[in-house]
Amino acid sequence: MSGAVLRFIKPEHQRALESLPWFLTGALDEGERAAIEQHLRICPACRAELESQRVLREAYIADDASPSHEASLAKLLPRLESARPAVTNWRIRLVLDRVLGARGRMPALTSLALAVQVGIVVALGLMLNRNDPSATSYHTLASAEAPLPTRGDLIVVFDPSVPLRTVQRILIASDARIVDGPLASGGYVLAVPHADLPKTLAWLRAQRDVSLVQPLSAEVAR
Amino acid sequence: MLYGQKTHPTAKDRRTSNANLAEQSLLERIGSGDRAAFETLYRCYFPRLTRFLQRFLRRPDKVEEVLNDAMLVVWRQAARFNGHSKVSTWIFAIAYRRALKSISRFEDPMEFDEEHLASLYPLPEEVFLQRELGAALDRAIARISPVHRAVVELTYYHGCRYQEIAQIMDCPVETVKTRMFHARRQLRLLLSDQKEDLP
Repeated sequence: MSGAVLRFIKPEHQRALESLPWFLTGALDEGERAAIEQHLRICPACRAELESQRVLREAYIADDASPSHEASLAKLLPRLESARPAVTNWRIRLVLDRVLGARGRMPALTSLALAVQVGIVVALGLMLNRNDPSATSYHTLASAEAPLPTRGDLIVVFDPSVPLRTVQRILIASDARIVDGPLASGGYVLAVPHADLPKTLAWLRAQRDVSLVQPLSAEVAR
Repeated sequence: MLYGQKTHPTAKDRRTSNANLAEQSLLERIGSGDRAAFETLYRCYFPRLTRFLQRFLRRPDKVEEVLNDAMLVVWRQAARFNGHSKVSTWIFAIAYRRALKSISRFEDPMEFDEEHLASLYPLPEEVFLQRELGAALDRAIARISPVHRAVVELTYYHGCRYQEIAQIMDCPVETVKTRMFHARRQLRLLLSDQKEDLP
């Protein structure tokens, strides 16, 4: 027995059959989608299966009542105080990773000395984050130190029942443009004239057809 | 062309990636203790998580408890989000793990009690064909295992890619595909049984 792993190559039909649910929902990469489209042209069994799944999915996602969240949120909010967020960020984590990753190779005393140093670095890092106004501008956790260019000012969630013309009216009235979305949560990212941001924010919050408005800048949020 | 092989990102991929940045910004604010940002994220995710947990747990009395426990983890761990997955994938993975823990504590296997399910999800007197199929499907879904239900829900309703589901459920992508394949086969059999039982 050589121990070599023999890779089992699935027949094309089986691979297509297994991927049909994601083909149906449009959640495949371009290459996979094209391969399945090609297979569907020559496979009546997969075409029938796709149609069967389409009916099944339509029934599955139908009749979805949206529950109210406020009562549940009200129960959770008092628990937030006793469960403070873990205070760490990616810069501190990098330092910790470096030190902790090397700890196994060091004498115990050196590790202790380093742990004290890390504690000081963490404390200084936290102080810098508090004192430096630029620390309140946002960047992705995976990015380099330079912040990413801003791609919008607000996240807005419209009431799902409002017609398109209402959404258009709100956008025109607030001089806003949709620059991204829909987000996974159903919201849209809007860009608005920066000078009017607080006023626009207040106006959008007053709209009955807007379920939620949240600025992306911490300063405006305050 | 091998199935599952990663190709160049599509326009949809890039759009999703850009949209994800906005939710990452919210997470960063939550990580620094911003309650308003947390409430925004909570309201955004509440409908989707409720739906997911309703289908996965099959215990309406547990949904709110598990959802709030999961969001409390999000509140506490937001600063530790490492950006290796989408924010939605990260949050759903937390909810999935909390739900699994909750299921392991269930004393009674309510999910397989058909009479109780019928009382929770009663059929209306007059239903259209689609509603009938929906109700039959609901009963069938209740009969398959929780992990199979989770894959069906994340695929059909939440539109997750199988790679994302693998991250959420912490399993290989081939396992996700196999579970979905078996779930579909079981659902078909269960629906077929119900069809035979019709008067």
